[in-house]
Amino acid sequence: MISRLKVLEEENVDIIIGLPDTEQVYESFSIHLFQYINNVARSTGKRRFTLHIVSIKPKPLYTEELRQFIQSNIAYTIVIRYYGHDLEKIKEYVEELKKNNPHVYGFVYHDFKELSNLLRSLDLEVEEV
Amino acid sequence: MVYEIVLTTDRTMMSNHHGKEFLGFLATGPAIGVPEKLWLWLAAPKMKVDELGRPKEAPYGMRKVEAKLIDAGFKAAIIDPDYLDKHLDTMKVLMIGHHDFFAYGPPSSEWWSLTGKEPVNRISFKRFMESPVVRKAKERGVRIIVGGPAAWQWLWELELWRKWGVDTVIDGEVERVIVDLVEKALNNEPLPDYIYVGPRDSPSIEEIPVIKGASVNGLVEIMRGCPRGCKFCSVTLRPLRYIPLDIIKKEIRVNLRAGVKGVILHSEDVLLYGANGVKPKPEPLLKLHDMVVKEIGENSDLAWAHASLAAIKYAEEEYGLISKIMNEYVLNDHRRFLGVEVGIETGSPRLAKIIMPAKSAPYPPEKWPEVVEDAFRIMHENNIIPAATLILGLPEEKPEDVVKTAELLDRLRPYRSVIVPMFFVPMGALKKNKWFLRDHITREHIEVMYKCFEHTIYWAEDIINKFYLKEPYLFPVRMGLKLFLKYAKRRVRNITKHMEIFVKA
Ligand code: SF4
Repeated sequence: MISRLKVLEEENVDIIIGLPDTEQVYESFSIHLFQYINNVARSTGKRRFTLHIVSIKPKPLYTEELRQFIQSNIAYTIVIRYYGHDLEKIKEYVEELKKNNPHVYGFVYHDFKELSNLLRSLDLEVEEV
Repeated sequence: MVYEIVLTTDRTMMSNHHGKEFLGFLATGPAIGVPEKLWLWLAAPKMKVDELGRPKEAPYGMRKVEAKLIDAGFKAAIIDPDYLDKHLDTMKVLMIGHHDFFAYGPPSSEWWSLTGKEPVNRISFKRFMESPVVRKAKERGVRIIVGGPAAWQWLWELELWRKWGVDTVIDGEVERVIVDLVEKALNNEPLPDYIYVGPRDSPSIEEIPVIKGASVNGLVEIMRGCPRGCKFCSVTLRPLRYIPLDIIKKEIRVNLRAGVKGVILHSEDVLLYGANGVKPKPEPLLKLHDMVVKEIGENSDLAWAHASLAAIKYAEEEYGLISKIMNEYVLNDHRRFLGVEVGIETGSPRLAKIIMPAKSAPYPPEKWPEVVEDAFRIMHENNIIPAATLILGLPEEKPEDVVKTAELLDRLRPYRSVIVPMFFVPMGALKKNKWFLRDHITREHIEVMYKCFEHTIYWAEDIINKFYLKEPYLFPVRMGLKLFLKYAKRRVRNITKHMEIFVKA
């Protein structure tokens, strides 16, 4: 069962985010994500985004990777949920999401091939950075 | 009464600051010249509570959330931090709000960076989160939700976020979403780690509840949003909402019934209530003040939270509105002044044009120093006492800009006011280098800071002697402040000399 917030996660875009697992924060990840979300907002007309985080970094430490993005965004509603690194679970989850939302996408760090391949196999459009 | 949802915060927020908002600012600095306990008492004395530990007054934003949850049928209440243990057995969700959780906001970050000492508000908040009762609550599975205007600061304290087991950080206007979030917390559903409520999901006027208990020093909101349209500002993206007079009246009555004598009208710019864009309009403002003083009577205080200098000038020059409001509604034997926060930020038209092109509207940014001076004169003539801020050290700033600010300060000298310089400290800098300010300060900055200090000390003595803390029960606070001013005066020359050593000219 997927837990969704009323209002903020209705009429939204769901994005599966594969974070870098590098030691150092990968600065441009946030910048690319910011541009990507602006583009998706323009093309879909949506203003609400749920970011489903896939990362080996524990919560909430992974947010360091997204900090610049979160602080740059003032225009859109952002909900951030964390899923750890269990790709089997993510597969089930994405299938469930797709049943209810035509706007499910992937945004994945280029080295995280396992995830981008998985998402593509589930027919998601994936942006690699 | 059994409360499943407890809202609270640390002592620096859960206080009415002796009924004087301005004293609350002391908590944004480290204790200077006195023990921390005494400093904390000056800035944030304990609040009166009932038998359940519910404070007589509480921060306004938390009152809104409390009201929303009660209206939705939840057993929710704001509890003073010293009385949380009374509710430990029933508590399932702990909600914590703050204006400056970790002292990364202005002016805390400047004090911190200048003195190298953690500000009192940060120490107090950390102590609260580490307190046995909050730890015990977490061990028992209580879900912790934190929010308020400083929610973003958690992004810079990830280790503490993890250590303290905060479940969700929520940022933005929450009225439309908080009931659902809390319901999910109570049902043990997975919660998002971070939520930012975007401008389009801001609540409508109908969705904003009337507070159920008194707010700190009678603060009531009169509008949300801001029409100035500054770049990178989330407030201006939100819809402009003027709170109807009958709702404002209801909230004033809640406060009066609880024994809070006074009102602080809150808005990003009080003079834009019912305005035509950035141009104040007489009718809504006169009606507002007429209603407010009829409600509070002759013997209560009235203050504005914020006003823009451009609106002050425009309102007075076009309509004589400032003197009308002050003479016909505000001033009497009891109310001998009106306090307000204003932003000067810079005395340089060049810098004003870059960092805040809309702030001087309807006047052009080139006229900013005149706008500031005219507004200060108007306020002085009408017994309005501004607490003004300046920002130093912005990345776009040049030494000539700071010189212009120093010149403007000379022109403001005749006008009763408190002027506080704030130093721009980029986030991250504080974490890497606690002496960031000392490493970036210039001779021109020191001159401006010294001028601000001299100006403020001069007028603070005048304000305390003529206007402030007159009530007999505030005698100890008055004495404490006077002693502090004396001490500060003695020390400042030393400190300035000391700082010059760090200048890399
Ligand atoms: S004046 Fe302040 S609140 Fe209004 S738009 Fe500008 S920065 Fe935002």
